[in-house]
Amino acid sequence: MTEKGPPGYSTNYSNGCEGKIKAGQAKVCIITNEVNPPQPVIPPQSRLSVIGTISGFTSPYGMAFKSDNNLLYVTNSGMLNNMS
Amino acid sequence: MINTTTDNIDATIPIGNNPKAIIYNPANDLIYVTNSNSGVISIINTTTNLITDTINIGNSLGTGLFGIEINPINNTIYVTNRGLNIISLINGTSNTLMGNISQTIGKFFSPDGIAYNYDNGNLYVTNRGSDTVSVINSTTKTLIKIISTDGIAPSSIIYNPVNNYLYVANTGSDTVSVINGTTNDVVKTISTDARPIGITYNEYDGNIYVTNSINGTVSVIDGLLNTVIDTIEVFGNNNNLTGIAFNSNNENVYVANTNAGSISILG
Repeated sequence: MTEKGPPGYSTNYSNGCEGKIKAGQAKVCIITNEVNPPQPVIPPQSRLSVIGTISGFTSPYGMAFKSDNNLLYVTNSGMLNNMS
Repeated sequence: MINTTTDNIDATIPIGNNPKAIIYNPANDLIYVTNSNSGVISIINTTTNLITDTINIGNSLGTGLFGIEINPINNTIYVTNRGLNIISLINGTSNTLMGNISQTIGKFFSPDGIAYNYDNGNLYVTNRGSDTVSVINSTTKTLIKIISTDGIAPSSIIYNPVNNYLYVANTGSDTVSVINGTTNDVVKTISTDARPIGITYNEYDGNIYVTNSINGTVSVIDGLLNTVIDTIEVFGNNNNLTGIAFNSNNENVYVANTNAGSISILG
């Protein structure tokens, strides 16, 4: 004998649920549905870490990216007349 | 300019005095740079990568141009002027000064960062001197609301198009204020590392990245949960991390190490 329990529960069967019975025979089958333990919640994480460093700036400050030429424009705030 | 395919410096362009903020305008393919000490905006042609024009904002106090933002609907560029407590408007077609916004009531107080809300067309200006954010109707150029940030010295501000929230780096209180772009109320204050200053939105993972200038770290704020989910060690203490930008081609984040004279790549 089988039974499908509700979502989030595990189903257990007693020995009386197995096998066949003859006419007039009685067997006791106990089916128990136990709630499943909660799954541990894994907090979301950033996928990023430092993968490189570019040197050669003087007090870099602001940045703007232009996608079609794949260029990153950086202001060098510590120098007069300079932008990389 | 950094070629982000090779991660090498391609060229260096002569600019003005103490260049700070920079923005690309896709409407005219030009780059705009605020020169904080001279009150001048430099405009760069991105085909030739040469200066094509300069606009004198006329800052008699000598210092003050900081933040810059674009309204893509009317092709207007907005520049915050901390010295004069005004917002200057530049026509993106003619590249001429259109005028200034200066509030008589609810005056700007050392305006620093500025962000455009793509949902309702409002401008959000951080007032570093009064710990507030001014909400400006970009059509009428009038004040809608002054928001108390619940922080100290608000500087950079960024718009999250997914949840219509704005994120403000409060440099003096080590926090980020989250503003609902519909109600214009602060809905949350998030603790970061010391002296948050730069802020950007990563459109790939939907998170907000904040440079902490004292600790040399970047705080990563989940753009939906509005909680810090990571703190990335970038360059050690006291290296004065400032600007931060997202590269939509390779999905990396670039961080300016101002004292060390370098750019760190997060990927």
